[in-house]
Amino acid sequence: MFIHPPPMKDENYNISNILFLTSITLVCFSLLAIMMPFDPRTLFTNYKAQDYFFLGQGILNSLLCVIVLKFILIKSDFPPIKMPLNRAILMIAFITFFMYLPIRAMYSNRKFIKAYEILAHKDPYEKKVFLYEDTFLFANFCKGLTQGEHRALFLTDLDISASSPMYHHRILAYYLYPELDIRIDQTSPIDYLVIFYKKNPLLAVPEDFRIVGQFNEFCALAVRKNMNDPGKRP
Amino acid sequence: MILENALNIILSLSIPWLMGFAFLSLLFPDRTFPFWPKVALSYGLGFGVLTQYMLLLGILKIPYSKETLDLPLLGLTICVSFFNAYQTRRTQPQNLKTAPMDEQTLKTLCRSKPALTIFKFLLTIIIIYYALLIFWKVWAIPFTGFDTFSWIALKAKVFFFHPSLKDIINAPHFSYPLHLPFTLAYFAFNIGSWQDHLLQSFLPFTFLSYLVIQHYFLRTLTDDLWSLTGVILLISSSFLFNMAGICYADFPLLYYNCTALILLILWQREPGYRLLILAGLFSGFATFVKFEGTAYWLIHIALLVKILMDQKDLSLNQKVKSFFLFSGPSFVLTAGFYIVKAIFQAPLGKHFIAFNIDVFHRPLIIAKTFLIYTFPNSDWNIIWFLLLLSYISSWGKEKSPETRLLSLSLFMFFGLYFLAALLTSEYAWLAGPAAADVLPRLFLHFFPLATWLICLLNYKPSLLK
Repeated sequence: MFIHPPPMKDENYNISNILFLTSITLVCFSLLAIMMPFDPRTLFTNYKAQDYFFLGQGILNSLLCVIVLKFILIKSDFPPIKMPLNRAILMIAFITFFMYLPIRAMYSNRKFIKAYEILAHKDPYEKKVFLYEDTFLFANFCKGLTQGEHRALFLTDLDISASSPMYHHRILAYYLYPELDIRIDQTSPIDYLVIFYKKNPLLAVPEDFRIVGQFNEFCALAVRKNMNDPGKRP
Repeated sequence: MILENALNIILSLSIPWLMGFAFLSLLFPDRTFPFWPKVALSYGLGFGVLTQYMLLLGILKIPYSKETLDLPLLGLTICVSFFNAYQTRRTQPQNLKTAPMDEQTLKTLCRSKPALTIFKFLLTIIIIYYALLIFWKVWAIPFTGFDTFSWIALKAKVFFFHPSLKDIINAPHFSYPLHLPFTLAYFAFNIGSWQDHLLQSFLPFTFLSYLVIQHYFLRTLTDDLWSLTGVILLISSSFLFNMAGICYADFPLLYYNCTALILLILWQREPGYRLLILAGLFSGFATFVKFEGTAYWLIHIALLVKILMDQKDLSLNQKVKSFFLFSGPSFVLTAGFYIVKAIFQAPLGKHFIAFNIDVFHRPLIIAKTFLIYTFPNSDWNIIWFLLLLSYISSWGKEKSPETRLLSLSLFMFFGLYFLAALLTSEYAWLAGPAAADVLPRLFLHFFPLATWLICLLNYKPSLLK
């Protein structure tokens, strides 16, 4: 059903051209590694360093080499020099790409090994504790003090319009649900107060609520005093 | 417990996948697609149908449960499979064909083939390596990311603990499409409890399925080497690799959006109504993954119109029929969720035209921002730069119809966001301080086009092959 277009001959893509341009690229890369005042090992640890280096330096400097060679050997019959410049640049770009493909793979490998060492021997609970620390532990603490499902009000001194506090608010809302709903239910009466990083949690509790548990100096859970039977939300 | 969970995950993957395979076999009873691309397409088709089915259950107020989800889908799969088995229509196997080569080329091939084989083998090893990393990442690292906690996993949890659409109306971002929350909830229903470290088990399969589809697509237009190179170019993007392993809607949207484009391009080469219907379905599924999917649906329609205008062999009636065969299914899928939102009086979307004097200053800023987040950006490796060089290298030469269509598509995708930044209140997100968080994710949805175009622009069967 799907048929290839007929083959066309292209003299530029042959082994001698590729080898010549690979050599040029490697020479440029080596010279740059020697001349540039940076630690080449960062190429193995930093994606940004890789991209800026190869994009900004490796290809352009290889281009410079090809241009210089073309002007110097302009009457030469050496085939790679006869290659159109744009084609040479493109091939160098591909060579550069494939050259640092293994470097990228090694970088991913290092990250993987690092993550593996941290997470391999942890169960799912321990992983969440490691990743989300007090936010996750506080959510579990609060859920342990409740029965059924309730609407709760979230109180905090953090500015949850800012990136990090907002993220922790969302994590908390997710892990508290369904026992304590601080984001979904907008109509049921508020049974609990989830006090998260307030300077003085006790002062945040109004008259009709009482503290049922204090997680740490800044986090606590309060329940409505006249709540008889927790039960499920209607 | 571990074995039980493993079996439940396999069940959760198998039922939609088999359903997708059955439907695909119904649509293509001949062997239009080879086995593995068919399996890869079945994945997207199956999960797309699954989430639409869950939306339908929600509208009909049928509570979600393992029984209401699995049994009807299994029943449907069995019925369709029986029907397929009794179908009498069979055509000859349509295997990929290569053009014949002349003797000189063949001799050169024999000399250099071992080097090429080794190179292709190394590329394959790298692809397998990255695929294994994705599997490990998904199963080793629990939910991460703002969107996951903010609405995707939270809504899924609401569906699991209160199995209806009722409670979701008050949820934050109710107007957001529900493909991913439904998928997570479906896994949870099959597992029987909320164990979030298991729910994202489908992500590596989304990744692998897309790689297979892309490989197949490039294989039909180029050859083994370039199809593998295209996949390598794709996975060399660190951003794509990261997004494929977390529970965000961006990679699934990439999957559906790009598969719809691939099917449209394949249809352009070999017009046949079945491919159009399938492309329409994938385009419609994309609208249920993220808001942007609706805009991409319009781009797919525009692309289809362009293809139809270029098709000299089709009559006007056939062109009109083709248009409706694509837009019909995709429109039904797109409209479905918007109708639900209208019924529940949820906002249909969140963008509006905001024309003010700043509009005249915006184009340069937008263009500069877009450039910053494509070329010298560590998210995309040097792919955009390779694409630019490929265009320069092939400047003035005749391009294949596929290359022209894909170039047009790429222009439309960038144009879409350019206009959105220019004319809507999303300027701050697309070209302002928040662009760093938003733009890469948006560009991800059509990033594969860059890799396809690099392969197509450079594909010239050489003496090495």
